[in-house]
Amino acid sequence: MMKRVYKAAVCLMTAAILCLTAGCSSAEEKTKEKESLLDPKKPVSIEVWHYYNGAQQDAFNELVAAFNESRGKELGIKVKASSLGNVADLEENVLASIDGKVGAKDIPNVFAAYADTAYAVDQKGMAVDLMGYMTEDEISEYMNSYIDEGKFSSEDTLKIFPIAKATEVFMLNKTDWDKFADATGASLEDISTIEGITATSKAYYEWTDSITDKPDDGIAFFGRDAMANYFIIGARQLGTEIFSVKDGKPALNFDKDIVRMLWDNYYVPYINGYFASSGKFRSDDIKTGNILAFVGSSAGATFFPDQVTLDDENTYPIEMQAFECPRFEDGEKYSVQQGAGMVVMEKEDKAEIEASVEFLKWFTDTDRNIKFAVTSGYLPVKKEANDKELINKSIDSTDDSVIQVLDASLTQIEETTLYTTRAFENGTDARNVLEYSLSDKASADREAVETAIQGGVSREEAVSKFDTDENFESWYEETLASLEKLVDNK
Amino acid sequence: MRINRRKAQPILRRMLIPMVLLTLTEVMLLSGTFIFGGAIQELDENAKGIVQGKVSNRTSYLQNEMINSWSNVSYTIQVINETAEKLDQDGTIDLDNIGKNSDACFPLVSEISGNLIEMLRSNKVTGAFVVFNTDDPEMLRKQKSFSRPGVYFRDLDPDTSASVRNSDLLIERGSVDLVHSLDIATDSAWKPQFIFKAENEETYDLLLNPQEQGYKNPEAASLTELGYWGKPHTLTDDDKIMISYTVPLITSTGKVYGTLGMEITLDYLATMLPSEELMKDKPSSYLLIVKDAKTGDYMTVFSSDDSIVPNMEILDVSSTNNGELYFTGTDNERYNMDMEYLQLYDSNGPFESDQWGLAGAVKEHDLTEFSSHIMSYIIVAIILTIIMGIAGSVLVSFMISRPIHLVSKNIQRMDTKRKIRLPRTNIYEFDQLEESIEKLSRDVIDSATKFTQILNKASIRIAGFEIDMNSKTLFMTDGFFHIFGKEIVSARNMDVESFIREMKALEVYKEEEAEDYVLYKMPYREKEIYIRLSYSSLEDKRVIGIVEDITKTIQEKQLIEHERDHDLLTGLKNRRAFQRIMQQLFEKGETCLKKAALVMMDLDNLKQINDKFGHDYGDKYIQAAADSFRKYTPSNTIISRNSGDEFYIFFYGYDTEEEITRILSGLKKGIDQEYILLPPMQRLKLKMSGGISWYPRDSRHYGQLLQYSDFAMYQVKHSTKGEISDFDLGAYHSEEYISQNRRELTELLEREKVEYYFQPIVDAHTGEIYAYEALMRGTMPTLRNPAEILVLAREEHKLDKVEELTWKMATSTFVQHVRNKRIKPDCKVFINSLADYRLSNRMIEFIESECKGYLDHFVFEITEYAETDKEAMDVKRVLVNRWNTDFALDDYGSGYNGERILIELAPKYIKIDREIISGIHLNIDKQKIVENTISYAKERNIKVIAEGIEMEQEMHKAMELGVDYMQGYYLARPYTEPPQISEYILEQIRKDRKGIPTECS
Repeated sequence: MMKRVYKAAVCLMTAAILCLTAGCSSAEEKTKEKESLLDPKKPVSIEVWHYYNGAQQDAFNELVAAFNESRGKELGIKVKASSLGNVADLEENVLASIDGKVGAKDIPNVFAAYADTAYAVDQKGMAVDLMGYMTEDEISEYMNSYIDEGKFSSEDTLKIFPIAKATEVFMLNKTDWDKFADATGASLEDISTIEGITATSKAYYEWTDSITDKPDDGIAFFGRDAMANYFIIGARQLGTEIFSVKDGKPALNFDKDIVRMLWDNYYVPYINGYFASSGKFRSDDIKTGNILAFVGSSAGATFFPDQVTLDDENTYPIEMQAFECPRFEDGEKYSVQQGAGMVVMEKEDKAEIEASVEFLKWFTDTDRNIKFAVTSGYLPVKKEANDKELINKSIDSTDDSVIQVLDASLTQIEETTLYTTRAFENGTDARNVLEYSLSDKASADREAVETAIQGGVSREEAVSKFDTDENFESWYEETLASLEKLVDNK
Repeated sequence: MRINRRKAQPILRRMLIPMVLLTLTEVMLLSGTFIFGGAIQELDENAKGIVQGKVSNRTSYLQNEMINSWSNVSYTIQVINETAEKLDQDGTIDLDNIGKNSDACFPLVSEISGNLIEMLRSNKVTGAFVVFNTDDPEMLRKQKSFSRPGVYFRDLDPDTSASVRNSDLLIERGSVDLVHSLDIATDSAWKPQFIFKAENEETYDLLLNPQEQGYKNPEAASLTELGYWGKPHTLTDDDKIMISYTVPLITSTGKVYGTLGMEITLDYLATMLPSEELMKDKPSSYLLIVKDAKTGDYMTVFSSDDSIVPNMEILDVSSTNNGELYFTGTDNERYNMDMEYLQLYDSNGPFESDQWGLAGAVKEHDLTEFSSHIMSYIIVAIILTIIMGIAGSVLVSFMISRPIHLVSKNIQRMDTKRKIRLPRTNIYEFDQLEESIEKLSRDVIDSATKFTQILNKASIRIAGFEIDMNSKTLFMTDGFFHIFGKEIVSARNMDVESFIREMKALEVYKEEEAEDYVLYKMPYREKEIYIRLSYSSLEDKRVIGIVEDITKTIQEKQLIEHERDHDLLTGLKNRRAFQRIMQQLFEKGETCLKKAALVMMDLDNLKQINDKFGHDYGDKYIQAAADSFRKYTPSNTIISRNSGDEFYIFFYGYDTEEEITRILSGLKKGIDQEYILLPPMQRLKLKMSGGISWYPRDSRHYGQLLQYSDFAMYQVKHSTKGEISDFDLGAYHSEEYISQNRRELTELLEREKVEYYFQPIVDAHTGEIYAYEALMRGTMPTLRNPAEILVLAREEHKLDKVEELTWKMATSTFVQHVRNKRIKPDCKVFINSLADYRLSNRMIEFIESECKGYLDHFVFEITEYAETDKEAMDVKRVLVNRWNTDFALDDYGSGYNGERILIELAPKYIKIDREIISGIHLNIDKQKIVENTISYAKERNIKVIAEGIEMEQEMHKAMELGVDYMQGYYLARPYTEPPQISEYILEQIRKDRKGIPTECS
């Protein structure tokens, strides 16, 4: 009996000592909600690649830092964000990483992408289907059209997480406009349609030309940032989808009449000098007094200048006004939906995927999304966040242009149907064809016209050489061919 | 063996203390070697070393970047200079006025934009710019603000691959024409010209410092001599702070026309200085520092964690004795700063006083955190080890000591009468010990049982016990109390207290008690039994004893005594018993006897009856007389048949003689009525004569009373017969009843017909005569032998006379001899003295007057010490004291004079009985007795005298045994003339002496 008591005592002692020495670490095996793979003790790092620049980058970084400090710390997630230049650079880098090209960086966990890039990545099997990480209720909180963009491979998959969207708005140097309007009686009504803009641009050029004695030294009125949008939305308004995609398979509808209409409202005023584009963005043209108005992404609101700099000495402040994007007079009410979403990349460590989704959910939380929106000019992605009142509440310190742009954007969202081409193979290349084929031709031809004018030829004469059906025909065929190469190769 | 309380310790302590000490020592050794062996310091050093290594690596990396990339302008500047010179030469530009406005420099700017962008790309910097200025720098420094044309590109992500369409670039500065001509976006803060303001002092420096150097040293071999690293500043008025490297644009002719620069934004710099690497998850910061060599100020150019150190501030850096730098961060923590300098400028260069360096700042507390953790682990480990060690020691000691403790408790408590079962400890050695103890206990019980059985088998009932008062234990054989007839009292389970209680209860039956035994007389089944308890104490606290039933022995003894003391025929006491009883009674004296009467009866006519009717009838006659005596006297009367027809009847203890007289007359009447029947049926009346002597009226001495009653009876016998009459002293004296011997004795005593011989007592050491013994010799013709004289004197009760005579004669003879020089004056004389008889005062007076001056020579040699008369002895003691002399005890070792007397008498001399000395050389027992006597005597300063030495061997042996004095025929016979010792004997004594070590040598 005594012996057994001793034995028991010895066992107990030993056990107690073992527990004391080794126990400290193993004690905390807490059960986590939903068998999450995340562990605050072992934080996962995720890398986010985006293309934000300037103020947008600052806003994004601020939120990332906030996430790392709060929710990230809580869940064990550390987000590192890098800006990779523009969308194209980003895509290039992402694809290079996926393909493991020499000198390429490690594959990021999350990257900002348009549908086309997402498609390309998805084709390599790297895009995570977010349906597995979000409930239906969660998904339904987002704007339907934004979600639809991520359903490019099939209706029951979601490959793009919308975080911030944009549309195109019309931005006007109100200060100089007023001078023009006062002088000519032009009204804002005149510039509410595409055709109106073309006409008003002509009027403006002529008015400015008339101010100096020198002939043909008028100033351009208008410019466009995104030519592809012009094509796609313009065509949509006019009744066709240039790329109609069904189940990832595109069909090309490059309607000649419609394209001619687009030609007439861009190429023709451009070579005449009514429209212009120099520098990277049209906001730069506004900045240097090159043009008075442009159609650009609402996300560019922060880049809208508050002054015009003519040269080293001459600078004056301007006021900006934003309007809904002008449409073709008889066109349907479509406007572009743009802005990249976030693609989550497949990783061996599923915790990283979970961490990525957690970050994106946090990022698109209504309040936070609005905050990002009002500092960057992007639009919130949740239904309830796309509310003017709600947004107005959080706007007070940001600059005027952003308010204007958001206001115009929200009105536009309400009044028109947001449209964007569904992703398809070679979609990016196809878009690029639309982006550059007309604008490059226009600027080249304009240069020729200018050279001619400098050579003493009148503007009309110089232009007439280019403003021909043949010129259109040859360009159309050329463009159609390059498009068909990309789309109709099935 | 008793337990030594001071030395003995419990096992627990015996084991625990050394084990605990061992544990402590081990722990102290281990922890000591760890703590004082420098391991902790080394850990701290290691932690610092790791930080140092990181800083060192990062510094070389940064230095590499700064020198090889961020200041790699040589190619670009060459291209720009060549282009500028070419354009200047062909008149496209005017280098002298190139700093005037944007237009003036536009052709050059558009030419070199590509080169700038290329440089920006290849050097991976966040910006590249060219500012044109041809004005005197000194003049410009005085202006509050000025603007200069130029171009400025920025790439916020130099790490990412370059965009084909340069869409990752922004134009910060550049003319409107330039913006239009390039497909590059403008930054929101774009301006056509650089605007320098005095409040941004550093912007002046970065523009003008290189130009000033360019003017001073247009032939500089290397641009590094002219280049300037600009401290944080902004050229764009936005929140982008940067550092920059600027060099002057100088034509080959030495014309300074601008500044080329590259910038690194602090944000970008931050990505190159990941302070997390310094110390994981701990606040730490890389600090890019410019130390002003002149003022010694440390300015933080950049801090990767501005919560610790803000950017662009003078840091209060202190250094410790061993050169380590530290500062207090904004969080009020002390930071250890490890700084390495960047070699950006050549020595003796113009900006050498700007010492750029990279420092890693780490919380001092964090550096030592690991070691403090280790320390605390060690302390925890030490505490645990100590606790475990002590607990283990306690446990082990407890585990070992507990069973032993139990066993020892069990042993203490165990019943020795039962077989022991001890709990097993499961410790091999102890279990063996236990088995031995159990076996021992079985053996003890077995032998106790055997012992009891043996006792039970004994013919007499006997039992034993032992009490140990210390341990309160009691051992008893079974049936101890059965012997006392107490069958209900069980020996089993009896403890000491109840044993003592039982024994106390028995005390009422005590019959006799002595030093070492108690005799109980117990009633037992209507009989009486005698139980003797003999006991002895051992070591005070232990008592052992046996009880035996000696009833039978006592009964047998009583029977024997009865037979010895009683007359077979009459059942009366016989003569010997009567004498003994009388002696006992007379020793008690008058208190017991009070008034007493001794009656002597003599039957008349017995002879005739014997003759006439035969002895049977004679015997009947005697029996009838005896019966009548018994019948008519009180029970305490002592009646004895002396011989034949003589009876003694002794009445004592009466207050008056009348009472006895009444009894006597009753006796007489009674006897008168008694008769025996003789054939043929004739009654014969008892007839007897008796004489009475009264105590103390007639005499106090039994002998005299006997003589008187005898005399009185014979008086009756010779006269009337059949009468009992009183003793008449007158009649007695007048009676001619003295025998021949008696007459001679009387004559001897009265006429002093004795002379005294002297026998020498020789000193055994020297052979010299120490003393003489005076020996009596009768001078009567028939009575010469002193032994005969004494016997006769005893019978005649005249020993007192002998005593008086001896002392009178011996002392005077001795004195005469001394006076006649026959005896040396210092010699003593031993004079025999009867213990029971005293010298009369008259005699004492006589001796004291006659022998004046010699009284201390007279030694009282006491013989026949019986202590019947204490008074006599007391007188002698008084005399010995008064005369300053001593007692000698005669015949020591004989029947009369033994140890008891020795103690009472306290003599100065012991004379060993001649019976012991005789043949002593042959008898070891005798030697032993002498040896013992001598050793006893020596201790008490008593001198021993060997008496009766008759042979040479006896003398030698006596000397060898160490007697003090010798006496005997061999030495010298007694003689009237005090004899001397022969030369031959003296020679022998001296010879012997040499062989025997004396006390002194």
